[in-house]
Amino acid sequence: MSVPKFGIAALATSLRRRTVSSVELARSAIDGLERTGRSLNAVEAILAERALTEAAAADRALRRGGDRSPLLGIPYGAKDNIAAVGASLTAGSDLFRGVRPKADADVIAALKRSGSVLIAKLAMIELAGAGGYRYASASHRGATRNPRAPDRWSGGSSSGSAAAVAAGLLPFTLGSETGGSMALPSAFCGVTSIRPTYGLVSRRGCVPLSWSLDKIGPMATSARDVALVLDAIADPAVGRAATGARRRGAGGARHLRIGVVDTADAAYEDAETRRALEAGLHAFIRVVGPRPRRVTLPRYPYDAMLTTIYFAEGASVFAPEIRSPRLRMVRDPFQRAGLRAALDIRAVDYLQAMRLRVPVRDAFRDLFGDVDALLCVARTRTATKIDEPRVGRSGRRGTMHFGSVELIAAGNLIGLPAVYFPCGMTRAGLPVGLQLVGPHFSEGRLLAAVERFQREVGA
Amino acid sequence: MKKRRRLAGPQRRMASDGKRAHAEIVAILSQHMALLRRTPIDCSIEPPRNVAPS
Repeated sequence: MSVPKFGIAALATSLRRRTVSSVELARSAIDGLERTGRSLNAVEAILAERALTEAAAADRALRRGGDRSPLLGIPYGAKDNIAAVGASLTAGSDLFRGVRPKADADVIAALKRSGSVLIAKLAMIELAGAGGYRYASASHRGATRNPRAPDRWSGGSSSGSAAAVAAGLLPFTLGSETGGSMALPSAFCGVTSIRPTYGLVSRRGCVPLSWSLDKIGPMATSARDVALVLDAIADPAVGRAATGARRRGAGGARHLRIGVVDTADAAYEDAETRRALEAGLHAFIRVVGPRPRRVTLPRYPYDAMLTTIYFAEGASVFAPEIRSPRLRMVRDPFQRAGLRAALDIRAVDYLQAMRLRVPVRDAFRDLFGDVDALLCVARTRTATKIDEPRVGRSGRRGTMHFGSVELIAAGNLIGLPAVYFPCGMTRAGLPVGLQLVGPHFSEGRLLAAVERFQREVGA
Repeated sequence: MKKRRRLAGPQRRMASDGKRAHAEIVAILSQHMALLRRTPIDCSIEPPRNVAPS
Protein backbone atom coordinates (compact mmCIF):
# COMPACT_ATOMS: atom_id res chain seq x y z
CA MET A 1 0.00 0.00 0.00
CA SER A 2 1.35 3.41 -0.89
CA VAL A 3 0.47 6.57 1.00
CA PRO A 4 -0.93 8.59 -1.88
CA LYS A 5 -4.51 7.39 -2.21
CA PHE A 6 -5.36 7.12 1.46
CA GLY A 7 -6.14 9.47 4.29
CA ILE A 8 -5.24 8.95 7.93
CA ALA A 9 -8.36 6.97 8.85
CA ALA A 10 -7.93 4.47 6.00
CA LEU A 11 -4.23 4.04 6.75
CA ALA A 12 -4.97 3.51 10.47
CA THR A 13 -7.50 0.79 9.61
CA SER A 14 -5.01 -0.96 7.32
CA LEU A 15 -2.33 -0.81 10.02
CA ARG A 16 -4.64 -2.45 12.55
CA ARG A 17 -5.72 -5.12 10.07
CA ARG A 18 -2.02 -5.80 9.39
CA THR A 19 -2.50 -5.37 5.64
CA VAL A 20 0.40 -2.94 5.82
CA SER A 21 3.06 -2.14 8.43
CA SER A 22 4.23 1.25 9.59
CA VAL A 23 7.73 0.44 8.33
CA GLU A 24 6.29 -0.29 4.87
CA LEU A 25 4.40 3.02 4.93
CA ALA A 26 7.54 4.86 6.01
CA ARG A 27 9.60 3.27 3.23
CA SER A 28 6.91 4.13 0.69
CA ALA A 29 6.80 7.75 1.88
CA ILE A 30 10.61 8.05 1.82
CA ASP A 31 10.69 6.63 -1.70
CA GLY A 32 8.00 9.04 -2.92
CA LEU A 33 9.69 12.03 -1.34
CA GLU A 34 13.08 11.06 -2.82
CA ARG A 35 11.65 10.73 -6.31
CA THR A 36 8.70 13.11 -6.61
CA GLY A 37 9.20 15.35 -3.57
CA ARG A 38 12.69 16.37 -4.55
CA SER A 39 11.67 17.04 -8.17
CA LEU A 40 8.98 19.39 -6.83
CA ASN A 41 11.54 21.09 -4.53
CA ALA A 42 9.23 20.24 -1.64
CA VAL A 43 11.84 18.53 0.54
CA GLU A 44 14.40 20.04 2.87
CA ALA A 45 15.65 16.80 4.46
CA ILE A 46 14.56 13.17 4.75
CA LEU A 47 15.01 11.60 8.20
CA ALA A 48 15.24 7.98 7.06
CA GLU A 49 16.96 6.60 10.16
CA ARG A 50 14.66 8.33 12.63
CA ALA A 51 11.59 7.44 10.53
CA LEU A 52 12.37 3.73 10.37
CA THR A 53 13.11 3.60 14.11
CA GLU A 54 9.82 5.33 14.95
CA ALA A 55 7.93 3.15 12.46
CA ALA A 56 9.38 -0.05 13.96
CA ALA A 57 8.31 1.14 17.43
CA ALA A 58 4.82 1.85 16.08
CA ASP A 59 4.63 -1.65 14.59
CA ARG A 60 5.55 -3.14 17.97
CA ALA A 61 2.83 -1.06 19.67
CA LEU A 62 0.32 -2.16 17.03
CA ARG A 63 1.21 -5.82 17.62
CA ARG A 64 0.74 -5.36 21.37
CA GLY A 65 -2.71 -3.86 20.71
CA GLY A 66 -4.76 -1.74 23.07
CA ASP A 67 -3.52 1.53 21.57
CA ARG A 68 -5.98 4.34 21.10
CA SER A 69 -4.09 6.87 19.01
CA PRO A 70 -5.51 7.21 15.48
CA LEU A 71 -2.10 8.52 14.41
CA LEU A 72 -0.10 5.48 15.54
CA GLY A 73 2.23 4.47 12.72
CA ILE A 74 1.11 7.28 10.37
CA PRO A 75 3.90 9.08 8.46
CA TYR A 76 4.11 12.88 8.30
CA GLY A 77 6.40 15.82 7.53
CA ALA A 78 7.07 19.19 9.13
CA LYS A 79 7.92 22.64 7.81
CA ASP A 80 11.60 23.37 8.29
CA ASN A 81 11.05 26.08 10.90
CA ILE A 82 10.05 23.35 13.40
CA ALA A 83 12.89 21.67 15.29
CA ALA A 84 13.37 17.90 15.09
CA VAL A 85 16.32 15.87 16.29
CA GLY A 86 18.09 14.24 13.38
CA ALA A 87 17.80 17.06 10.86
CA SER A 88 18.99 20.61 10.40
CA LEU A 89 16.72 23.57 11.12
CA THR A 90 17.22 26.07 8.31
CA ALA A 91 13.95 28.05 8.18
CA GLY A 92 14.47 27.89 4.42
CA SER A 93 17.63 29.97 4.52
CA ASP A 94 21.37 29.44 4.07
CA LEU A 95 21.74 31.75 7.09
CA PHE A 96 21.00 28.75 9.30
CA ARG A 97 22.58 25.97 7.28
CA GLY A 98 24.19 23.51 9.68
CA VAL A 99 22.05 24.37 12.71
CA ARG A 100 21.07 21.06 14.29
CA PRO A 101 18.58 21.17 17.17
CA LYS A 102 19.23 19.06 20.25
CA ALA A 103 15.56 18.62 21.13
CA ASP A 104 12.25 18.22 19.33
CA ALA A 105 9.81 21.11 19.20
CA ASP A 106 6.75 20.60 21.39
CA VAL A 107 4.56 19.74 18.38
CA ILE A 108 7.01 17.10 17.17
CA ALA A 109 7.18 15.65 20.70
CA ALA A 110 3.37 15.58 20.89
CA LEU A 111 3.16 13.73 17.57
CA LYS A 112 5.83 11.31 18.73
CA ARG A 113 3.69 10.53 21.79
CA SER A 114 0.77 9.89 19.43
CA GLY A 115 2.91 7.34 17.56
CA SER A 116 3.20 9.35 14.32
CA VAL A 117 6.33 8.81 12.26
CA LEU A 118 8.34 11.86 11.21
CA ILE A 119 9.60 11.29 7.68
CA ALA A 120 10.86 14.65 6.41
CA LYS A 121 11.46 18.32 6.96
CA LEU A 122 9.78 20.28 4.20
CA ALA A 123 10.82 23.25 2.11
CA MET A 124 9.65 26.76 2.92
CA ILE A 125 10.11 30.40 1.96
CA GLU A 126 13.24 31.71 3.70
CA LEU A 127 12.56 33.02 7.21
CA ALA A 128 8.86 32.48 6.43
CA GLY A 129 8.97 35.80 4.57
CA ALA A 130 9.93 37.96 7.54
CA GLY A 131 10.84 40.89 5.31
CA GLY A 132 8.33 40.24 2.56
CA TYR A 133 9.44 38.65 -0.73
CA ARG A 134 8.80 39.06 -4.42
CA TYR A 135 9.59 35.72 -5.99
CA ALA A 136 8.53 32.12 -5.42
CA SER A 137 12.25 31.30 -5.52
CA ALA A 138 12.79 33.09 -2.17
CA SER A 139 14.07 29.92 -0.53
CA HIS A 140 17.45 28.26 -0.47
CA ARG A 141 15.74 25.26 -2.09
CA GLY A 142 14.34 27.39 -4.89
CA ALA A 143 10.66 27.58 -5.76
CA THR A 144 8.46 24.64 -4.77
CA ARG A 145 6.46 23.42 -7.74
CA ASN A 146 2.72 22.87 -7.54
CA PRO A 147 1.86 19.16 -7.93
CA ARG A 148 -1.40 20.14 -9.70
CA ALA A 149 0.51 22.14 -12.33
CA PRO A 150 4.31 21.92 -12.11
CA ASP A 151 4.84 25.12 -14.10
CA ARG A 152 3.13 26.94 -11.22
CA TRP A 153 4.09 27.72 -7.65
CA SER A 154 2.87 25.82 -4.59
CA GLY A 155 2.39 29.03 -2.61
CA GLY A 156 4.24 29.86 0.60
CA SER A 157 5.65 30.13 3.06
CA SER A 158 4.50 26.58 4.00
CA SER A 159 5.41 25.52 0.46
CA GLY A 160 6.65 21.94 0.89
CA SER A 161 4.02 21.16 3.53
CA ALA A 162 1.19 21.84 1.08
CA ALA A 163 2.91 20.34 -1.96
CA ALA A 164 3.74 17.05 -0.18
CA VAL A 165 0.08 16.56 0.79
CA ALA A 166 -1.25 17.62 -2.63
CA ALA A 167 1.16 15.22 -4.34
CA GLY A 168 0.00 12.38 -2.10
CA LEU A 169 3.48 11.92 -0.65
CA LEU A 170 2.40 12.29 2.99
CA PRO A 171 -1.07 12.02 4.57
CA PHE A 172 -0.45 15.08 6.74
CA THR A 173 2.12 17.76 7.42
CA LEU A 174 2.71 20.68 9.76
CA GLY A 175 2.80 24.25 8.49
CA SER A 176 2.83 27.64 10.15
CA GLU A 177 1.08 30.94 9.60
CA THR A 178 1.90 34.50 10.60
CA GLY A 179 0.08 36.46 7.91
CA GLY A 180 -1.18 33.90 5.38
CA SER A 181 1.53 31.24 5.11
CA MET A 182 -0.96 28.37 5.30
CA ALA A 183 -3.80 30.13 3.49
CA LEU A 184 -1.84 30.72 0.30
CA PRO A 185 -0.36 27.23 -0.25
CA SER A 186 -3.62 25.56 0.84
CA ALA A 187 -5.52 27.50 -1.83
CA PHE A 188 -2.89 27.06 -4.55
CA CYS A 189 -2.42 23.32 -3.94
CA GLY A 190 -6.02 22.43 -3.00
CA VAL A 191 -5.36 21.01 0.48
CA THR A 192 -7.24 21.42 3.78
CA SER A 193 -5.57 23.04 6.76
CA ILE A 194 -6.33 24.83 9.98
CA ARG A 195 -4.79 27.93 11.46
CA PRO A 196 -5.56 27.31 15.14
CA THR A 197 -6.49 29.95 17.70
CA TYR A 198 -3.36 31.87 18.68
CA GLY A 199 -1.72 30.03 21.58
CA LEU A 200 -3.63 26.76 21.19
CA VAL A 201 -0.62 24.94 19.71
CA SER A 202 2.75 25.38 21.40
CA ARG A 203 5.48 27.03 19.31
CA ARG A 204 8.32 26.04 21.61
CA GLY A 205 11.17 24.80 19.46
CA CYS A 206 10.12 26.67 16.34
CA VAL A 207 12.02 29.48 14.61
CA PRO A 208 9.99 32.59 15.40
CA LEU A 209 9.03 35.28 12.93
CA SER A 210 6.57 37.27 15.01
CA TRP A 211 5.96 36.30 18.63
CA SER A 212 2.51 37.85 18.76
CA LEU A 213 1.31 36.37 15.44
CA ASP A 214 2.91 32.96 14.77
CA LYS A 215 0.70 29.86 14.77
CA ILE A 216 1.39 26.21 13.84
CA GLY A 217 -1.24 24.01 12.25
CA PRO A 218 -1.80 20.76 10.33
CA MET A 219 -2.37 20.33 6.60
CA ALA A 220 -4.04 17.24 5.11
CA THR A 221 -6.45 16.09 2.42
CA SER A 222 -9.60 16.49 4.53
CA ALA A 223 -11.04 18.33 7.54
CA ARG A 224 -11.45 14.96 9.21
CA ASP A 225 -7.73 14.27 9.06
CA VAL A 226 -6.86 17.83 10.09
CA ALA A 227 -9.05 17.37 13.19
CA LEU A 228 -7.25 14.15 14.12
CA VAL A 229 -3.88 15.90 14.02
CA LEU A 230 -5.11 19.01 15.81
CA ASP A 231 -6.39 16.83 18.64
CA ALA A 232 -2.88 15.42 19.02
CA ILE A 233 -0.99 18.74 18.99
CA ALA A 234 -3.39 21.15 20.73
CA ASP A 235 -2.43 22.11 24.26
CA PRO A 236 -5.40 20.98 26.38
CA ALA A 237 -4.37 23.36 29.14
CA VAL A 238 -4.89 26.29 26.75
CA GLY A 239 -8.10 25.44 24.99
CA ARG A 240 -10.08 22.43 26.09
CA ALA A 241 -13.08 23.69 24.12
CA ALA A 242 -11.18 23.48 20.87
CA THR A 243 -9.87 19.97 21.29
CA GLY A 244 -11.92 16.85 20.81
CA ALA A 245 -12.78 18.12 17.34
CA ARG A 246 -13.20 14.57 16.05
CA ARG A 247 -15.28 13.39 18.97
CA ARG A 248 -17.76 16.19 18.46
CA GLY A 249 -18.11 15.05 14.86
CA ALA A 250 -20.35 16.87 12.44
CA GLY A 251 -23.30 17.16 14.79
CA GLY A 252 -24.79 20.63 14.98
CA ALA A 253 -22.84 21.90 12.02
CA ARG A 254 -25.72 21.91 9.53
CA HIS A 255 -27.31 25.01 10.86
CA LEU A 256 -24.36 27.32 11.25
CA ARG A 257 -25.25 30.98 11.05
CA ILE A 258 -22.84 31.99 8.32
CA GLY A 259 -21.73 35.52 7.57
CA VAL A 260 -20.51 35.79 3.99
CA VAL A 261 -17.74 38.34 3.58
CA ASP A 262 -18.10 39.84 0.12
CA THR A 263 -15.15 40.07 -2.20
CA ALA A 264 -14.78 43.09 -4.47
CA ASP A 265 -15.48 42.29 -8.14
CA ALA A 266 -12.15 43.76 -9.20
CA ALA A 267 -10.22 41.54 -6.81
CA TYR A 268 -10.75 38.36 -8.85
CA GLU A 269 -8.07 37.20 -11.23
CA ASP A 270 -10.62 36.56 -13.97
CA ALA A 271 -14.21 35.53 -14.61
CA GLU A 272 -13.43 31.80 -14.55
CA THR A 273 -11.74 31.95 -11.13
CA ARG A 274 -14.68 33.92 -9.83
CA ARG A 275 -17.16 31.41 -11.26
CA ALA A 276 -15.35 28.48 -9.63
CA LEU A 277 -15.08 30.24 -6.26
CA GLU A 278 -18.70 31.39 -6.22
CA ALA A 279 -19.93 27.92 -7.20
CA GLY A 280 -17.97 26.45 -4.28
CA LEU A 281 -19.19 29.12 -1.90
CA HIS A 282 -22.83 28.53 -2.83
CA ALA A 283 -22.39 24.77 -2.48
CA PHE A 284 -20.97 25.23 1.02
CA ILE A 285 -23.84 27.50 2.02
CA ARG A 286 -26.38 24.97 0.71
CA VAL A 287 -24.89 22.25 2.89
CA VAL A 288 -23.90 24.08 6.04
CA GLY A 289 -25.63 27.45 6.36
CA PRO A 290 -28.75 27.77 4.24
CA ARG A 291 -29.65 31.24 5.49
CA PRO A 292 -26.43 33.24 5.35
CA ARG A 293 -26.17 36.95 5.91
CA ARG A 294 -23.84 39.37 4.22
CA VAL A 295 -21.16 40.82 6.44
CA THR A 296 -18.92 43.81 5.98
CA LEU A 297 -15.71 43.69 7.97
CA PRO A 298 -15.09 46.54 10.43
CA ARG A 299 -12.95 49.19 8.73
CA TYR A 300 -9.36 49.03 9.97
CA PRO A 301 -6.02 49.15 8.13
CA TYR A 302 -5.47 45.41 8.60
CA ASP A 303 -2.65 45.02 6.12
CA ALA A 304 -0.75 48.00 7.53
CA MET A 305 -1.21 46.69 11.08
CA LEU A 306 -0.12 43.18 10.21
CA THR A 307 2.92 44.25 8.19
CA THR A 308 4.08 46.73 10.82
CA ILE A 309 3.84 44.16 13.60
CA TYR A 310 5.50 41.23 11.87
CA PHE A 311 8.17 43.40 10.24
CA ALA A 312 9.07 44.96 13.61
CA GLU A 313 8.99 41.69 15.54
CA GLY A 314 10.83 39.86 12.74
CA ALA A 315 13.51 42.57 12.68
CA SER A 316 13.99 42.03 16.39
CA VAL A 317 14.21 38.24 15.94
CA PHE A 318 16.71 38.44 13.07
CA ALA A 319 18.55 41.66 14.05
CA PRO A 320 22.00 39.98 14.33
CA GLU A 321 21.64 38.52 10.83
CA ILE A 322 20.25 41.74 9.35
CA ARG A 323 23.19 43.75 10.69
CA SER A 324 25.69 41.21 9.42
CA PRO A 325 27.17 40.91 5.91
CA ARG A 326 25.66 37.41 5.98
CA LEU A 327 22.34 39.03 5.09
CA ARG A 328 23.37 38.60 1.45
CA MET A 329 22.65 34.89 1.96
CA VAL A 330 18.95 35.78 1.92
CA ARG A 331 18.04 35.06 -1.70
CA ASP A 332 15.23 37.49 -2.43
CA PRO A 333 16.33 41.14 -2.87
CA PHE A 334 12.92 42.39 -1.80
CA GLN A 335 13.17 40.41 1.45
CA ARG A 336 16.72 41.68 2.12
CA ALA A 337 15.50 45.24 1.64
CA GLY A 338 12.44 44.58 3.78
CA LEU A 339 14.50 43.19 6.65
CA ARG A 340 16.83 46.22 6.57
CA ALA A 341 13.93 48.68 6.43
CA ALA A 342 12.14 46.86 9.25
CA LEU A 343 14.97 47.75 11.64
CA ASP A 344 13.87 51.39 11.29
CA ILE A 345 10.20 50.94 12.20
CA ARG A 346 9.49 53.35 15.06
CA ALA A 347 8.29 52.10 18.41
CA VAL A 348 5.38 54.55 18.27
CA ASP A 349 4.12 53.02 15.01
CA TYR A 350 4.52 49.47 16.28
CA LEU A 351 2.58 50.41 19.42
CA GLN A 352 -0.17 52.08 17.39
CA ALA A 353 -0.58 48.85 15.40
CA MET A 354 -0.60 46.81 18.62
CA ARG A 355 -3.14 49.09 20.30
CA LEU A 356 -5.45 48.88 17.27
CA ARG A 357 -5.68 45.13 17.81
CA VAL A 358 -7.89 45.81 20.84
CA PRO A 359 -10.77 47.57 19.01
CA VAL A 360 -10.44 45.08 16.15
CA ARG A 361 -10.83 42.22 18.63
CA ASP A 362 -13.88 43.92 20.19
CA ALA A 363 -15.46 44.58 16.78
CA PHE A 364 -15.11 40.91 15.78
CA ARG A 365 -16.53 39.84 19.14
CA ASP A 366 -19.65 41.89 18.27
CA LEU A 367 -19.71 40.37 14.79
CA PHE A 368 -19.72 36.86 16.26
CA GLY A 369 -22.76 37.77 18.30
CA ASP A 370 -24.77 37.60 15.06
CA VAL A 371 -23.01 34.81 13.17
CA ASP A 372 -21.24 31.56 14.09
CA ALA A 373 -18.61 31.77 11.38
CA LEU A 374 -17.39 33.97 8.55
CA LEU A 375 -17.11 32.47 5.07
CA CYS A 376 -14.90 34.06 2.45
CA VAL A 377 -12.75 33.10 -0.51
CA ALA A 378 -9.25 32.13 0.62
CA ARG A 379 -7.60 33.62 -2.43
CA THR A 380 -8.98 35.54 -5.40
CA ARG A 381 -6.60 33.94 -7.85
CA THR A 382 -5.23 30.54 -8.75
CA ALA A 383 -1.60 29.42 -8.46
CA THR A 384 0.85 31.86 -10.02
CA LYS A 385 3.43 30.89 -12.64
CA ILE A 386 6.65 29.75 -11.03
CA ASP A 387 8.62 32.90 -12.04
CA GLU A 388 5.80 35.40 -11.70
CA PRO A 389 6.66 38.28 -9.35
CA ARG A 390 4.49 38.73 -6.28
CA VAL A 391 4.32 42.49 -6.39
CA GLY A 392 4.33 44.63 -9.52
CA ARG A 393 6.97 47.32 -9.86
CA SER A 394 6.61 50.98 -8.97
CA GLY A 395 3.55 50.50 -6.87
CA ARG A 396 1.57 48.70 -9.59
CA ARG A 397 0.40 45.72 -7.62
CA GLY A 398 -1.20 43.55 -10.22
CA THR A 399 -0.84 40.43 -8.09
CA MET A 400 -0.41 42.03 -4.69
CA HIS A 401 -0.11 39.31 -2.09
CA PHE A 402 -1.10 36.73 -4.70
CA GLY A 403 -4.80 37.64 -4.39
CA SER A 404 -4.99 37.95 -0.61
CA VAL A 405 -8.16 39.13 1.08
CA GLU A 406 -8.61 41.33 4.17
CA LEU A 407 -9.95 38.54 6.36
CA ILE A 408 -6.56 36.78 6.29
CA ALA A 409 -4.84 39.77 7.89
CA ALA A 410 -7.72 40.50 10.28
CA GLY A 411 -7.99 36.89 11.48
CA ASN A 412 -4.25 36.64 12.04
CA LEU A 413 -4.12 39.93 13.94
CA ILE A 414 -6.59 38.79 16.56
CA GLY A 415 -5.66 35.13 16.57
CA LEU A 416 -8.90 33.67 15.20
CA PRO A 417 -9.00 30.07 13.97
CA ALA A 418 -9.53 29.51 10.24
CA VAL A 419 -10.07 26.38 8.16
CA TYR A 420 -8.76 26.65 4.62
CA PHE A 421 -10.28 24.13 2.23
CA PRO A 422 -10.65 23.48 -1.50
CA CYS A 423 -14.06 24.10 -3.03
CA GLY A 424 -13.55 23.22 -6.68
CA MET A 425 -11.40 23.68 -9.75
CA THR A 426 -11.24 26.08 -12.64
CA ARG A 427 -11.74 24.66 -16.12
CA ALA A 428 -7.95 24.73 -16.43
CA GLY A 429 -7.76 22.23 -13.56
CA LEU A 430 -6.39 24.62 -10.93
CA PRO A 431 -7.83 24.42 -7.39
CA VAL A 432 -9.68 27.25 -5.70
CA GLY A 433 -10.48 27.42 -2.01
CA LEU A 434 -12.45 29.04 0.77
CA GLN A 435 -11.80 29.98 4.39
CA LEU A 436 -14.15 29.52 7.33
CA VAL A 437 -13.25 31.71 10.31
CA GLY A 438 -14.77 31.51 13.78
CA PRO A 439 -14.38 32.92 17.28
CA HIS A 440 -11.46 31.85 19.46
CA PHE A 441 -11.45 28.11 20.24
CA SER A 442 -14.22 27.27 17.74
CA GLU A 443 -11.98 24.79 15.88
CA GLY A 444 -14.28 21.80 16.55
CA ARG A 445 -17.31 23.50 15.06
CA LEU A 446 -15.43 24.87 12.02
CA LEU A 447 -13.87 21.52 11.20
CA ALA A 448 -17.18 19.69 11.64
CA ALA A 449 -18.80 22.10 9.16
CA VAL A 450 -16.07 21.62 6.56
CA GLU A 451 -16.11 17.85 7.13
CA ARG A 452 -19.84 17.80 6.39
CA PHE A 453 -19.28 19.85 3.22
CA GLN A 454 -16.50 17.55 2.03
CA ARG A 455 -18.56 14.44 2.73
CA GLU A 456 -21.72 15.67 1.03
CA VAL A 457 -20.23 17.53 -1.92
CA GLY A 458 -17.07 15.50 -2.37
CA ALA A 459 -14.96 18.63 -2.79
CA MET B 1 37.44 43.18 -25.68
CA LYS B 2 35.91 40.83 -23.19
CA LYS B 3 32.16 40.57 -23.55
CA ARG B 4 30.02 40.85 -20.43
CA ARG B 5 27.98 37.74 -19.90
CA ARG B 6 24.31 38.46 -20.32
CA LEU B 7 22.22 37.27 -17.37
CA ALA B 8 19.23 35.02 -17.99
CA GLY B 9 15.78 36.59 -17.68
CA PRO B 10 14.92 35.80 -14.05
CA GLN B 11 18.48 36.57 -12.84
CA ARG B 12 18.49 39.88 -14.70
CA ARG B 13 15.14 40.74 -13.19
CA MET B 14 16.35 39.88 -9.68
CA ALA B 15 19.53 41.95 -10.09
CA SER B 16 17.49 44.89 -11.27
CA ASP B 17 15.11 44.38 -8.37
CA GLY B 18 17.98 44.60 -5.90
CA LYS B 19 18.54 48.21 -6.92
CA ARG B 20 14.93 49.23 -6.61
CA ALA B 21 13.80 47.07 -3.74
CA HIS B 22 14.85 49.32 -0.88
CA ALA B 23 13.09 52.40 -2.26
CA GLU B 24 9.99 50.35 -2.95
CA ILE B 25 9.79 48.75 0.47
CA VAL B 26 10.37 52.09 2.21
CA ALA B 27 7.57 53.62 0.15
CA ILE B 28 5.20 50.76 1.04
CA LEU B 29 6.06 50.99 4.76
CA SER B 30 5.59 54.78 4.66
CA GLN B 31 2.11 54.28 3.26
CA HIS B 32 1.38 51.78 6.02
CA MET B 33 2.61 54.15 8.75
CA ALA B 34 0.54 56.99 7.32
CA LEU B 35 -2.54 54.77 7.41
CA LEU B 36 -1.85 53.73 11.00
CA ARG B 37 -1.33 57.32 12.14
CA ARG B 38 -4.58 58.41 10.49
CA THR B 39 -6.61 55.72 12.28
CA PRO B 40 -8.21 57.27 15.37
CA ILE B 41 -7.96 55.37 18.64
CA ASP B 42 -9.06 56.24 22.16
CA CYS B 43 -6.06 57.20 24.25
CA SER B 44 -7.20 54.92 27.06
CA ILE B 45 -6.67 51.82 24.91
CA GLU B 46 -3.46 50.06 25.86
CA PRO B 47 -1.62 47.56 23.70
CA PRO B 48 -2.57 44.02 24.65
CA ARG B 49 -0.18 42.62 27.25
CA ASN B 50 -0.87 39.11 26.13
CA VAL B 51 -2.40 38.64 22.71
CA ALA B 52 -3.57 35.12 23.52
CA PRO B 53 -7.33 34.99 24.03
CA SER B 54 -8.44 34.36 27.59
